[in-house]
Amino acid sequence: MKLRGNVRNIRWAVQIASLVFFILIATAGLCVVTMGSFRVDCVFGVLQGVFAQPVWVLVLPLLIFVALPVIGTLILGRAFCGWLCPVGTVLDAFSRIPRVNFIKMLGNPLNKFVVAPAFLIGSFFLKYPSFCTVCPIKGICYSAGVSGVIKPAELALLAVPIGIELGEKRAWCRYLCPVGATLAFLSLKKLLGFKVDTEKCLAGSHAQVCRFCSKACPTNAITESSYKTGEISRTECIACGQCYDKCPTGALKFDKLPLAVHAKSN
Amino acid sequence: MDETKIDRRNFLSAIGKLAFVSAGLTLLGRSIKDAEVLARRPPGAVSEPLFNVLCLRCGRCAEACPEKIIKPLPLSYGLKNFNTPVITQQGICTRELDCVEACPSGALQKITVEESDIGTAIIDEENCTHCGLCIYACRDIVDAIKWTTPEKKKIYIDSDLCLGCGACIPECPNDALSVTGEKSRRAIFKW
Repeated sequence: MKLRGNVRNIRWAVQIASLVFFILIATAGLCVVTMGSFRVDCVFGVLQGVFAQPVWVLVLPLLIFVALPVIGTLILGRAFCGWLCPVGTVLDAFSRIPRVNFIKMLGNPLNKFVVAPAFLIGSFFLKYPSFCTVCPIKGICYSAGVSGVIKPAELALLAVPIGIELGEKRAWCRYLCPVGATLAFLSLKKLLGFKVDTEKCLAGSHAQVCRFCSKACPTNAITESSYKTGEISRTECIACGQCYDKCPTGALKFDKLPLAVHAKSN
Repeated sequence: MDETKIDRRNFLSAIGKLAFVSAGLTLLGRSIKDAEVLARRPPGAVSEPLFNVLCLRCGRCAEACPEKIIKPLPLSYGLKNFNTPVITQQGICTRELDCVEACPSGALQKITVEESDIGTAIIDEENCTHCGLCIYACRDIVDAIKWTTPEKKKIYIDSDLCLGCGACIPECPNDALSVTGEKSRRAIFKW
């Protein structure tokens, strides 16, 4: 099977498998995944815990549990958002619906970097992880109890992501999600990712306008400057591979990224 | 939006939004006053401030409980305590520790049956007729309810021995017994 053009199908398989895993197999969903005596915690959940409890020396061992997602994000960027996140999977299922443009108020990717610290400050004053109460990821993961009963109260937490999905693809992930914001912050120094080969790209070397990648990108990570510099937004790219699927000249490749964010890659 | 630049204007507006949103969140969270939880937490619970951080509100302990006596707290106890598990007032804990096994987050620490001490029973002196029926309920568990004198006139509860299981409550004909989560032994977070 050829890889190019099939990344979407592979990603669907991974996303569905991850959805089933987090709802039915992992008892605590994504918040805490236990693997024998080791466990992996939600990055933003632990961060909130550190802010909520000044006796955080006690919580310090928990920081070790986020090592895997932190290192993973430093290598692959927001691949979690594109491949594993249950909310992302649900939103991708809505990817072909007609859009109503009401997102203007919300539509700044920097907003998520405001929402995340706001919830950290909120956690500090309220003394508990405040975002977790309304987290839609938790909502999906806990929607089916151990006995298989569907919990409507948990599913209702999905209302906001799905509601603003009507306005724009992945609007929740781009503008609001604090978990995504935490991963995006770590992704600034990511090691691997997609980039545009400016030699092969039609928009760069010719006057022709192709921009199939920009149109396919669900998070608007590929902008006009990407065709010149080759650099795709590190905080926005969720490594979904849609651009790789659609590029007619094979100018998009998954490769080692330069360490300096604004350096021209070639 | 083609490109997001971090210039002075964007930065100041972000700081403004941050102050606004975090103040809003904090006020919203404080709008429902946090009530102190006097009910019993499930066995192995860590100290209350840490419990609020570690508990995922997933309800796995309630599902695992063989007696089905673990219930989530309602919103009236404040957002901080909303959905955190407590044992109902009338519930009898059989100390099978299935809840501890089910807890994925470490909010309920892995403890042995001997270490489980979830609270203390208290006697309502106004209603108590000192009949002594509760003594027999406790005898096989920890023998924490005793006669004060050999003449068997008055009973008392040894709060050091009492585990707060609640087995004595249904035995009382006068509804003079209740149980609180105070004086419980809280576990220390380990991993």
